Amino acid sequence: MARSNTISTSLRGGGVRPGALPYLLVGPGAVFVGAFTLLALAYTVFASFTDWDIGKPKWNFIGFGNFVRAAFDPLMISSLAASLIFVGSVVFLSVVVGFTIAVALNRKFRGRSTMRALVVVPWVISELATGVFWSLLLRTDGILGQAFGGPLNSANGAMISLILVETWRSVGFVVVMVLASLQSIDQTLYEAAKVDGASRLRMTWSITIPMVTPGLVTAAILLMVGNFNLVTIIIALTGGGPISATTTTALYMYQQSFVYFHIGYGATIAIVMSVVNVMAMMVFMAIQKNVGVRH
Amino acid sequence: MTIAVPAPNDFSLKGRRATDPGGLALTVLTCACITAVFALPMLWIVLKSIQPESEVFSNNILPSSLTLDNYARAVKSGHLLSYTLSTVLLAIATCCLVLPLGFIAGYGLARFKFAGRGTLMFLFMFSLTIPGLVNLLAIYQAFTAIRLINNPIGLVLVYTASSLPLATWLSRAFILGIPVDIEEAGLVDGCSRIGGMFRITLPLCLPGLGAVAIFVVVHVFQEFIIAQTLVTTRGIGVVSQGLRMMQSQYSLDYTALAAGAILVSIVPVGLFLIMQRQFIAGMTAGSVTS
Repeated sequence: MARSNTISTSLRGGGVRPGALPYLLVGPGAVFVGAFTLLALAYTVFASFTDWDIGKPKWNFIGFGNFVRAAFDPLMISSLAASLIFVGSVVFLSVVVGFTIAVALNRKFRGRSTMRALVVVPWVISELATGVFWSLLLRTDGILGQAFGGPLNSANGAMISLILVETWRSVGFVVVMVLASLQSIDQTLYEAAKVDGASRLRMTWSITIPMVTPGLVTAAILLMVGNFNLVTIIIALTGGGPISATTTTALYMYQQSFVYFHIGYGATIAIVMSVVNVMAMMVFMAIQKNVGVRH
Repeated sequence: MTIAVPAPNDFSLKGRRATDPGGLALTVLTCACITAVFALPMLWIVLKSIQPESEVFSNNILPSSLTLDNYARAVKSGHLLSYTLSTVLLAIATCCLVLPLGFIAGYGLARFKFAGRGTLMFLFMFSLTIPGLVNLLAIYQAFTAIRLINNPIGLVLVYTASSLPLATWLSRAFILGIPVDIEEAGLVDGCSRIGGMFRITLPLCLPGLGAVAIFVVVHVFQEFIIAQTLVTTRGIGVVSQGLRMMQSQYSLDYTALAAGAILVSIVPVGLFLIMQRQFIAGMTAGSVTS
């Protein structure tokens, strides 16, 4: 680009010293966002080193006591396993199904915007409504519950139901992201490949997949983080049960913090989750950087 | 003066016509599967919601008569009227904070080079991707201390904080698409820097801000867990809380629950269907390389 699109700060205007202007513009938003993320994180770190519990009269610093407790807490370990199975399955299924649907919708035919809208609608509905909606279908006397013998009553059935319902909700997001990438592919690439005698499979492998990979990876990471922190659908569909079969780490943290009010321990689980979140974010940003700065 | 408004991206669909039989088969098959997996369950719930309660266990798929009683019961037992009103007010209040703050922050990040810009961009990008659940404990404690529990203002603050990163990111992307020459022409004509921002750039950004507003409204109508934690007074809070109350107290009233789930979804789904282009632009913002 020959010309930068930013304004040199030496330009004078508005009676405000130009040097201060950008800070005045970005400041309010940054303070807002910073208070709710960085301050909250600092507070949570602090609380995670205490034995703070609503049921006890006073709290003490206990160092890494909560972290040691978490490392040997069977419920914490099983919740991490549940999260791994849940998040891994949802991301895998959403990416595979979403990619297939996007490729199928990337050609002209009557009614394809209807099809796209149909796939995206679940992403727009409130998570709680989705949970209620599917629990009506899946409960023992519901139409699907009868067909599959009350899936929500068994540990595996509940987990599979949860994975499928969340995949149903997430596929639309992947479809939108992949379709946007597919639409940006220069069609002449395919024509050139055709002239060179490339097969359809070869074109998919050598043109389509490399071109949509950035969008697909972005969608996968955002879905991963979103589902790792998801509680609403689980509350509405299985409540974490039967027993604790579908209690993921996010739900376990929520229960410790807001059902039992074990503030210190809840904060510890939140910190463990934050570490996972931030690691996923780092991967996300590294990929973004590799792909090139957007906009 | 005529200015070509830069469209951020054209999200209307384009593509090749299906000519080869293999691709056509894939398309037909996919459409059939989409209909079966996405449309049929929704249709079933709609049918349940207009079926008389007495027929709920009958094996007939089609109800013998249609009724709106279930909707009336859902509105009453879920306090859906007051919850809907409250959700609308929360969404409007959140927009009133998010749109101006997001616009000026986006403008600052797009138009100026200054020390610390990279750090601030990182802050917004970071918060864009990290969900709020891990911060909820700290927010709950802080709000207890400053008496913002059970207070709609508290919810507006949290929703503002969670929507601002996207609003800033979208505004920035939109402003980057507007040639800076237009503003500099205004400067030459005697417009101040701030005047140029509001009188020249802002009107050009309105489509982008519209997309942000839709996103905020849908976000507030979808939200449940933050409101459920911070607000327990019945009738203030968000619609999903009304549905949750129905689910825990009237779990046997299937037809009313189906009606409630539909009522709670009408606003976000309606907004999405009307404003699909803007919504999809928002979904892909900050995530698709262009």
